[in-house]
Amino acid sequence: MSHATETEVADAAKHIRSLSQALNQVLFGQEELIDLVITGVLARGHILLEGLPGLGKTELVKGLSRSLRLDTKRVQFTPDLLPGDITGNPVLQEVNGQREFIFQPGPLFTNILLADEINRASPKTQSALLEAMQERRVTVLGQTHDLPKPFFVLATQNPIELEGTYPLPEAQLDRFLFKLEVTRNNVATLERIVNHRELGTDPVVEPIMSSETLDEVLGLVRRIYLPTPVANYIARLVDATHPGQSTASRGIRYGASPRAALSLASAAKARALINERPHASFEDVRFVAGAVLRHRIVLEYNARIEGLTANDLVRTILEEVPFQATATPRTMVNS
Amino acid sequence: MQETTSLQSTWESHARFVARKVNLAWWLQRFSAPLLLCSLIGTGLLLWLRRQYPDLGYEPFLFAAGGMILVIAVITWAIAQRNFEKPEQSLVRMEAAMRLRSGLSAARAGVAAWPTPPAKIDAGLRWNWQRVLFPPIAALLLLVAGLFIPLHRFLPPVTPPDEPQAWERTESELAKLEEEKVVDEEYIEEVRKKIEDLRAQEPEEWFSHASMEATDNMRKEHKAESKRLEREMNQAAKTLETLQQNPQLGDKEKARLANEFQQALEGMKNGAMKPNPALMEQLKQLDPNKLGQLTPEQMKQMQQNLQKGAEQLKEQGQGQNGEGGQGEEWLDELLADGSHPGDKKCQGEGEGEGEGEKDGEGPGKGGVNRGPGHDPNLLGKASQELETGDMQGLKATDLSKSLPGDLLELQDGEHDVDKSASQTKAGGDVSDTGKGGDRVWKESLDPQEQKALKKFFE
Repeated sequence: MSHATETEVADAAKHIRSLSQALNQVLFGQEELIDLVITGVLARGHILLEGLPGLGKTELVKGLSRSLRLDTKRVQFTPDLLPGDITGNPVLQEVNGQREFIFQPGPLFTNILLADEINRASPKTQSALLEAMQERRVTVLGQTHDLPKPFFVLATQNPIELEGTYPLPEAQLDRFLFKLEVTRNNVATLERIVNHRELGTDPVVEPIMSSETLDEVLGLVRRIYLPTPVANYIARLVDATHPGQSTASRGIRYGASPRAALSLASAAKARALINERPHASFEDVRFVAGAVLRHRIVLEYNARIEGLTANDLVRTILEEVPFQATATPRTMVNS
Repeated sequence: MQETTSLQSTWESHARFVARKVNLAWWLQRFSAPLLLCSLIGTGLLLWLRRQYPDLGYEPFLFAAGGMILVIAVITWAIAQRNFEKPEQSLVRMEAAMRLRSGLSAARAGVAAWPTPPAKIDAGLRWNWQRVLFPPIAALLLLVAGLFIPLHRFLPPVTPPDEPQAWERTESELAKLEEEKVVDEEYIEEVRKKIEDLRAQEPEEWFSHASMEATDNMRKEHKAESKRLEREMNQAAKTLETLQQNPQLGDKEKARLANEFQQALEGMKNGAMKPNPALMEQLKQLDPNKLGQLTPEQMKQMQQNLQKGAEQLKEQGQGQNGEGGQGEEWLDELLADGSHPGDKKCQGEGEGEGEGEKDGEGPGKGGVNRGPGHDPNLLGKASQELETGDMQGLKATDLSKSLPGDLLELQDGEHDVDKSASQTKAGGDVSDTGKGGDRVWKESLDPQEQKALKKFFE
């Protein structure tokens, strides 16, 4: 597989810029969030959005689907939701005079699945998503059905109102490429929202990319060159999240998995494409490291009591692990 | 194309420069500790060598120090090579420091063009001068100190102690006896052998109790033998002189003199110290009963020989007596008085024949008819008994610590004792483990968790 050229990268970057501009018209004042969502989509990853109600999570997903001309389905997860409700069920039907079970695809069979308040579903239903997210197919009554391509899960969860919720298990969290925190808007952004939006009306979003163009762009991301020193940096970062491997890891009980390293590499490549570069860099890795690692590390009891968060620890690890693999002698200092 | 090659070579040459700088820094780091350690040892060695061989110049030391530094440099270079950086690794360091977004790595892989170098290419490193300069300067100062600190010349090892004077004195007496041929050489050799045996001991043992006792014994024997031979020879000489001066003596008198001569001769023959062999031979050939038949010249000659030998022995004996004067005085004084040899009261002026412990004022004169009791000064002067309130003058030998007339008084004293009665005050407490949540907090959490919780609620 040849590496992406600068011309190809420049062409793709134009489309991505348009997409970014369109989404910034849907959601005001969340440029970084939009950047990361686009990065996640280009890296073919699933995204978990965490934030309070009313911050625009659903609007963002709807805007993304419209601008990409992709089929979108939304499922409101509730405790009584069954796995079959999302994967689909075989229904007894009469075909040519005979009764047969015909599989009726569920809402999972779409390009973008908006899983609203995913943590309200029972573990059984949550686990039905595992195969779909990782293998991009579902198996019902022994029959395997491929999901449409591309397939993304954009899930949301509410950090409050935790009564009657089922926290996502680590295995499921690991399937999400990013966990993004949707923060509240400042006064200027709120004023802009008030001026430009009406309650109950959706913003108009023009389609930006066809599905063919999206396929090309997604293919280009894979051809972005990942220099060996950057790959080494990713490996050292993931290793540093494990207890005993760094100073920051003292607050960590379990570190990130190899899937996290792959996610970092993939996200760094997507980030490089967004920045019109045919190669990933240390800076790209740093930019996506928080979103990739924060939900993959399990904190120690003491660290939680002391008020440390996964974000704090990832930040410390990023400060601790240098870009270059070679150590600096004590007779020199970094300027 | 040419421009690309030029850019590539520019970046690569910079990368090589950075790699060399980093590698030098690694070598300096590895070099520092051994350099300091070896200079410390080297300084000690230098000081020792300079003390042992003060006549050596500075050149050998300078060469040795230079050689040592060179060897350390080579060894540490070999060790530091494990950390050495390659130019491509320095390229990564440079792109990270200059925020080139992996442009150099990508260009090296042929994925992107080589970026245009900025005005100043920086690898983000600078020297830590404190760590770089301290070890060599400290090493240099240590070596210079080792070379130039003034030293006392090496003193030869302490000579063993002088041997006991009694040996030397005995040897000189033996040498004199040998030179004058007064006594038999066999005796002289025998005594010399005894001295050699004593001398063969370790010098530390020369003045041991056993050695001193053996020396003393040897010396006493020698003195006794000298006196005995002198006496025998005198006796023989006197007998011959009497016979020579009184040729008309009666038979009975002559027989007595012959008997005396015979006894003196036997004494000379049987003693350990014998006269010289020539004289002994002459005396042996004499028949004591026919002494009167010797010619006056023969008798005179014989008598002169014996007289001379006796005088020489006497001279030696006087020397021997003189030697003990000072050396043994202390013992006499101690027995006489204790600490005051000049005190006349202790010369033994007791009144009456023997005294009791209180009646007499001093020791008796001794003798078979002395009274009961023992000499009160046998073990030194009796101590003065002191009662409470008695004053006594201080006898200080060190006048810097007391004044004449200082008095010492004996007083009654009592220890400061707390006489208040002691009693048990209270029993022990049982700590409350708490209830409910408090109990959990106290007993269910491990110490680390308790600490964390405690910190949280503080």
